[in-house]
Amino acid sequence: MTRLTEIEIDRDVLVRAQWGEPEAQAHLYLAFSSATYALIRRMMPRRAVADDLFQDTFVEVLQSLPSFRGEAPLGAWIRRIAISKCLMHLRSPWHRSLLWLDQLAGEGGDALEPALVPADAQGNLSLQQDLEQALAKLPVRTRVVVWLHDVEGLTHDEIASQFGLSVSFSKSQLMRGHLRLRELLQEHAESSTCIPVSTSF
Amino acid sequence: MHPSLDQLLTLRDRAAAATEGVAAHVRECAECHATVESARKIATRLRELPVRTTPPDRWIAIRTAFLAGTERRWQPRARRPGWLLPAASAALVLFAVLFTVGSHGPRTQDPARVATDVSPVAPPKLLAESQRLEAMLASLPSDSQLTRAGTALTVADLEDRIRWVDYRLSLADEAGIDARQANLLWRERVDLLNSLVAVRYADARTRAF
Repeated sequence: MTRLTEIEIDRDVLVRAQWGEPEAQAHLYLAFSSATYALIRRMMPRRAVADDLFQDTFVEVLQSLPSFRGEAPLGAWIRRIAISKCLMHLRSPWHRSLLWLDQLAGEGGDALEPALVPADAQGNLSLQQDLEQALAKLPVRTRVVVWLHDVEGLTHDEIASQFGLSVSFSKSQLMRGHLRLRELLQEHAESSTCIPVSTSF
Repeated sequence: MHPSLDQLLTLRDRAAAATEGVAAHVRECAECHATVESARKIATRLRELPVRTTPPDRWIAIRTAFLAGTERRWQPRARRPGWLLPAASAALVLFAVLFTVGSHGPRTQDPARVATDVSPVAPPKLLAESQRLEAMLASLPSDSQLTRAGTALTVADLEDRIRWVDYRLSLADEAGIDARQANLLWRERVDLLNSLVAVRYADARTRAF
């Protein structure tokens, strides 16, 4: 997966987009939309929420583009907006009420869509599915920190700044995330060694 | 003594803060080495997870919302009811005053009171309700940051319909609109304002969170 910070865009396209040229803006959207959406979906597994936040992010990108000074890569700037939108949503009563409803329904977390990779013929989950499910089981703030640090490559300082919390918060969430992921992956590895009993002879 | 997981993760990330002491321990300790490798594998596998596809046709909605926001920011007085609605109300009040003065001769009453007392164009209750809703709209945060395409389109549609009602009311005299028709127009205006307040209030609440 291409990370936002790895995407490069022609300087001329950027300037034209900053001046509001529709074609240049569309070009910019095409270049950055997939990586932005992928990031938001990992932080917000609920699709409807992710779609709204994705739209909010790009509207703000277009609105704020004239003020982009190019001090950091454009992808890093877009990523910051996307993360900020997601964290604002996580702080909202709306999100808390969704969590509460999920708990009432017995789901215990964000409602997820099926994994992208199907199970094999025996119904076994692939390693990717296994990891996706484990990731989804993490508490949301832990999941966000793990993703931002391990995949997006943000430092603890940057994560702390985005959350408005301390560096130790980021470090402790990362540790907690890794401990839990290892537990969950281990559980799966142990359970997948069982041989299913066949009822047909 | 084993290093903490934090120290091992720092080592995994090859961060400058990782100490040689921790690195030396990991080289000797199979357990800690396995922990570092496991954390490294998890990060690698996370990066390799498949990507969910971008929702289709989202660009149109994004661009519409962006244009709606830009229009409101750069042409704040061109189309908004911020000045149009009070101006329309003031025109109607003036119309009512002139109507009253013309009918009953000079008076020293408050023009607003004249309007609510006798104007067949502005039914008192509906006029008061309309003014109350306009005051509510004015007290809501600026609508220049409406970001959802659906909300922006709904607000624009309601504003257009209110303007259309105002236009018809402004021609009441020339068009020979009677009291019943004027009442219907004012009722429609109040209903539209009610809807506009509801949409703007919901949006303001969303942004506040």
